Amino acid sequence: MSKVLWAITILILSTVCVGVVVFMPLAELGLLNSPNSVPLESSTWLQFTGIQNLVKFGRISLLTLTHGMQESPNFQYYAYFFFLGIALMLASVALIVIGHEEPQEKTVLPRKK
Amino acid sequence: MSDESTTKIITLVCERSLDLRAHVNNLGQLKDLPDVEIVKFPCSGMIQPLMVEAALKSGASGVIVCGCQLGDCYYREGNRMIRERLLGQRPPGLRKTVDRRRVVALWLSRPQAARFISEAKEFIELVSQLDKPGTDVNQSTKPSIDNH
Amino acid sequence: MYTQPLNKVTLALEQWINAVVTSKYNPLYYHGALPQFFLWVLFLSGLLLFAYYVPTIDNAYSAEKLINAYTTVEYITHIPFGATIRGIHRYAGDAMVIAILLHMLRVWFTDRYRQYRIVQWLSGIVLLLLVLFIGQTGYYLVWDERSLALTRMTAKSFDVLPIIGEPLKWWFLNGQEITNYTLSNFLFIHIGLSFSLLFGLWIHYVRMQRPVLTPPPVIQFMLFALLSILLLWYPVTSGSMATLTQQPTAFEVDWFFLWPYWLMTQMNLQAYWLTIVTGVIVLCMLPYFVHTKEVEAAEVVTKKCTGCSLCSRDCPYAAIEMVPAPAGSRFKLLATVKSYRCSGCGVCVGACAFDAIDLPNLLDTDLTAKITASAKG
Repeated sequence: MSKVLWAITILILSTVCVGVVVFMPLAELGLLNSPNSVPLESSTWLQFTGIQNLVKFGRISLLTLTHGMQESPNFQYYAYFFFLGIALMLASVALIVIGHEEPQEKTVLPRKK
Repeated sequence: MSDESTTKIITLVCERSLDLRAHVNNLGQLKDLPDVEIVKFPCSGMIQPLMVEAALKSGASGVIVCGCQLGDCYYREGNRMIRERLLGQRPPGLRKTVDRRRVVALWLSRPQAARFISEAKEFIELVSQLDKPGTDVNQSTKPSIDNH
Repeated sequence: MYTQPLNKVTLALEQWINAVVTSKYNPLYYHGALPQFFLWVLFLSGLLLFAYYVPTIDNAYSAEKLINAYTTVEYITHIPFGATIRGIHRYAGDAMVIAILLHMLRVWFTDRYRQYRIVQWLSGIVLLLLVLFIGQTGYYLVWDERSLALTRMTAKSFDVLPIIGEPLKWWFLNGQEITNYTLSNFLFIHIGLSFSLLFGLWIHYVRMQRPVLTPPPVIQFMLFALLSILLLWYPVTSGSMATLTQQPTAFEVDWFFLWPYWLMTQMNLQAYWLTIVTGVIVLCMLPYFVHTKEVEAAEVVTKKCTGCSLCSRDCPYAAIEMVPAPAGSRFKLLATVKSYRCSGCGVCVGACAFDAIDLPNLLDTDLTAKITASAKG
């Protein structure tokens, strides 16, 4: 049972990580500034509407959070670092979750080889 | 102490880790569990694997090694050292004939006495299971036959 | 000592963090490695900034195309990722000061700064002062109004010092007054002293075997993530360009680096220097205020030592040296204890399988006898 939960957790975390990694080059290209210029609709091999909404959501929430920053010509670079930060955060949380299994307060000696 | 207590546990503890003063009587035994004898060290790194062997050889049913939380040794590395020695990753290690089930190491900080007592109870339970088949306590230090 | 309330507070906090992230990822268990991590971040981001920086105060080329310290910083701010690298460099500096203070408080709270650790404590104070000064020179380099004000305040504060004041001011400004040479001197101090930090760190580490220099990746990610997210909320800014003919009156204060300047505005300069010097002396004397009995160093039993060097390898304070064994010995090497480095922790006793090293106040034979006796019951 716990193994299934474990697998699901890992799956969700890795999906989130991949999602954020996809975000980063978008931010780098400055596309978060103008989501309309993201050529998402033209992609035929994958439905990107979900991701586009995510992009829009990310942009709007960023702008709301950083009132006044939208004037800055460097906004996309800050956004890049913001998403990099989020990705690193998630990565470290994932690593902590994975490393948590090992008991830290008790050492049982292994029996023979 | 008495004849019926066959599960004598020796605890080798770093005096900077657990604060057991409230739980220990004058004889150096735990008040709740008089079978658990406490021997204090300035640092868990001072514990020699030979001492663990000596305890088991002279009739103890099990040995608990207790140091500070891993990463927080007052003397920098003592708890890591004894951990690696017990695990056989750093010389000198335990002899091959030592029953690994009878040794457990805990890494607890000063306020964690309650955790220690519950772990000790659990360990006594485990060790008394090991003691059941054999009548002679000393046999338990040579379990190599049943391991092969 | 280890029952003091401050230690209890620290332990309680660490206990709580352990419950959340386990001891493996507890940042407080890597408190010494945190400033070191930020030092590497600063070195890397500083290298990138250095590539564009021109350390002059006025026009280096022509009046129309003004190229000086201020405009190069402006230029950096407008190239791709320039502003963010600047921000990382600035906030990593602040974070380093926070990390150093954390490190200092923890070793103080847990009583790990005295006796055999005295070299670490004293070199740590020197390193802290160096870091503060290097950070301040970083603020001069931007060459906005704040930089000018800070430069003038520093020069003025040197004036009141007897004997060394004049030469110090001369060295600081690289001449009698603020010129182009002043800024190249600032750049040299900023970068040159940063590298001298490495020398200071060597002294800081030399009495420790296997110093913890890098926090685990998880903590590195976390710290860098915090820096990157912080950037968006507090983008770095600079004021308008410094003009030597004007005296700026007010500026924003970075409380981690520029607090001495705030202090200067609160008292006269003599009192300021008195406060600073007294503060440093008190910090240096802190280990001597607490009286405890001396450490009894471990002793080698020369007859038993086989020269296996296990104790020397395991000693956390690099206090055991292997020397050639005296003539007539069966073995090549002999362990010797440098008693001034010894903490009396007994790790060497645990490392010795030949009973050849002892703590004079706590013999391992006694302990073994005690263990055997209690086991026999």
